[in-house]
Amino acid sequence: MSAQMEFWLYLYFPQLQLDKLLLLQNTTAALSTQDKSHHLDLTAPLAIVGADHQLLQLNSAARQAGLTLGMGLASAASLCHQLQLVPHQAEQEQQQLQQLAQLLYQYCADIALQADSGLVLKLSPMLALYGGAIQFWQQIQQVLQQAGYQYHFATAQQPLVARLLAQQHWDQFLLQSDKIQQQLKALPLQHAQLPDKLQEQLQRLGLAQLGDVLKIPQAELVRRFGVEMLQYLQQLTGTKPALLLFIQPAEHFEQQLELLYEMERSDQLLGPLQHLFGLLQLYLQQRDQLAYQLELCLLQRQDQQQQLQLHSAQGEYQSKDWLKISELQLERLKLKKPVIQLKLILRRNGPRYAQYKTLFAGHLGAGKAQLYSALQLLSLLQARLGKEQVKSPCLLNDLLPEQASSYAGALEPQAAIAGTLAAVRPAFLVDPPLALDAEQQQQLQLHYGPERLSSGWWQQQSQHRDYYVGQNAQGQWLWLYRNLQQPEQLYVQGYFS
Amino acid sequence: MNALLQQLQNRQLIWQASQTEAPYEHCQSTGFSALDQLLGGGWPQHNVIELQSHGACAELQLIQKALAGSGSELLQIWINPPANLCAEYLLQQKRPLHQVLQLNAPRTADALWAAELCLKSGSCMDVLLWQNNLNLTQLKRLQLAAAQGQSQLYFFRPAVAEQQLLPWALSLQLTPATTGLQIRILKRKGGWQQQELVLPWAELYPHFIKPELQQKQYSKPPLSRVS
Repeated sequence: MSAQMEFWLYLYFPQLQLDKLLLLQNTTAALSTQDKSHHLDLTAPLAIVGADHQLLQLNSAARQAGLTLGMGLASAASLCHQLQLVPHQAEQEQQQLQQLAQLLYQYCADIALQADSGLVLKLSPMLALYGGAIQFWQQIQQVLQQAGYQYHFATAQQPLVARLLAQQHWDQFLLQSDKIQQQLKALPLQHAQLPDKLQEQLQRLGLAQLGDVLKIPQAELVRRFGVEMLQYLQQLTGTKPALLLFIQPAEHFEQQLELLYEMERSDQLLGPLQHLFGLLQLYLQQRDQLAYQLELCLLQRQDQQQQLQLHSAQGEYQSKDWLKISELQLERLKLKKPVIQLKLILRRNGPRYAQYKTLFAGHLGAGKAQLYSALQLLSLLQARLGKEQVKSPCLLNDLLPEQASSYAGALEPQAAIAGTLAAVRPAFLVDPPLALDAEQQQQLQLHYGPERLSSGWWQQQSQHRDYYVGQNAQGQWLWLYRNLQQPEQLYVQGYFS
Repeated sequence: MNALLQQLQNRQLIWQASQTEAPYEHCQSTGFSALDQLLGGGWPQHNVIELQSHGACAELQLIQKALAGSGSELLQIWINPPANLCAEYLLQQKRPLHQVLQLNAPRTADALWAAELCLKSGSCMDVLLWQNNLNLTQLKRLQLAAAQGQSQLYFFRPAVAEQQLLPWALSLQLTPATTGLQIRILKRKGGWQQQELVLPWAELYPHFIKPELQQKQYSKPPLSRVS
């Protein structure tokens, strides 16, 4: 094969929408046993109907009932009265096609989307990389199989030829141009995707196959049928390069998933969510990145929606880790209305770097198997308890104990404060300080003190306090103070423990 | 030896008193020699220890040496402590503040879930949990988690009148007395019960109780010193 020769692979997906329904049912099958009545039964006859009331996609039960593609609604209904109808959603199919293209992008650099549920892949530059056409094709096949959609394919030196053959379900992966040309010549004219007027004119001339047209000299054809014919022939023979818009990898991650039926319990959402997280994992893996923050929108009936923010302090890419975090959040969530659609948006991501683990972590940590790292643990705790319930203590630069001890974000490194530490401090602080009545003060036994603390004169309420350690009637150890302005009154500032 | 006895012993159906020598696989010294002796070496490691008290009677001081021995690379988790933590106290104990996590879990189920997760995560060394009640299944789960993650749970709860029999590795009741802290063993794995010890306050709070100061106790701050 010469280096100049271009080869194209055309992949044609005849029933994207129907296949999607089947796939979705498989993933949610385990959860949906009890309420079958709500949603479509995919084992009974089912058809996808286009805007002009023609059947576009049929499942196997519908085919067995005698329905064929392109049939009108009226005749279909008379043949099979229990036929379930689903309106065709071109936009959704286009989205799926886009997803498939993103999947294949990992294996092939030049992919273009086609209007009629097809993808064009440029083979020739890839063959050198994979060391042969067959290896490359096996790789592509594997991806397609995992995606689970039905497909037909064909190869040719021109994108148009590959497309014509793929839509005829030729399903041959060949790089011999003579065989392809032979197949092309045998193609009936009505499947050649000529403009309607041209096709009619050619058929009136008694031409039945594309081969018959190609036998006629090109100049003669153009003189008789005009520019349209010229353009068609140029595409067919490849004299003019095809105009194709190759896809670029997506800039940001935003995926939505239509649910098969309304979900009223939050735990039911985990099945569909897993699918979305799978897509996210692929997206992140391809870019070697980690996700730190995700937004999950639960679209509900009557245009309502609930939003969830999912956080991971360490950054995760694996679907199972995100599933665990979302499971904890969904447990706490109360759904206001049944959910009909899920939408997952990646809000914050960053490059993935090697996560170091200590090999010899001193005498205690040695050999200690880590199930979760500290940051992973933090994410899980925050997901279930709420972000504000998990915190680390911090020390502020102040003399008054109730101002000095405060809380900061969990596990955040803190600036050190210069100065010597006070010798006597209790483990727990009472906030606000508790005033003791006269009887309680009588029963106190003081053991240590005083230690005088004065807050700065520049502060609003400058305070001078004497601190003591005392034991109350129950034998509890208290950290007490009295204010110099009011020396009779003792307050409990903390507990020694 | 009697043939029958020999047979029973071979099938490990006989318990011998000599087997009580080493009740725990690993012990960590408490830092108080009298208490070490009472506990047969120290705190059992990678387990759950119950400390019953009314609070504010040196219960943290008892385990402080063990906490310090855990090193500072791993997290220390405080779940539902009775009051705010004092940052200066933690720094006195040489504990980096960002390695300490405080969790507030109003629901019991959440607190237990968090304790179990932290114990088995392998990134925490000590978990301190304040809670009122625990049943057998919950205790077993916590014990398994502690063993799995090689971590330690200190379970603080108020002293209760009627004793529920739970298989604690160690359960202590702490009551303040005039001379010191009275420590009573409620349950100890493989050990004798009903032993008591009074640990003097001066040993527990050496930084502010000096033995010579203990003589002159006064109940009111000397007002004359206020100017």
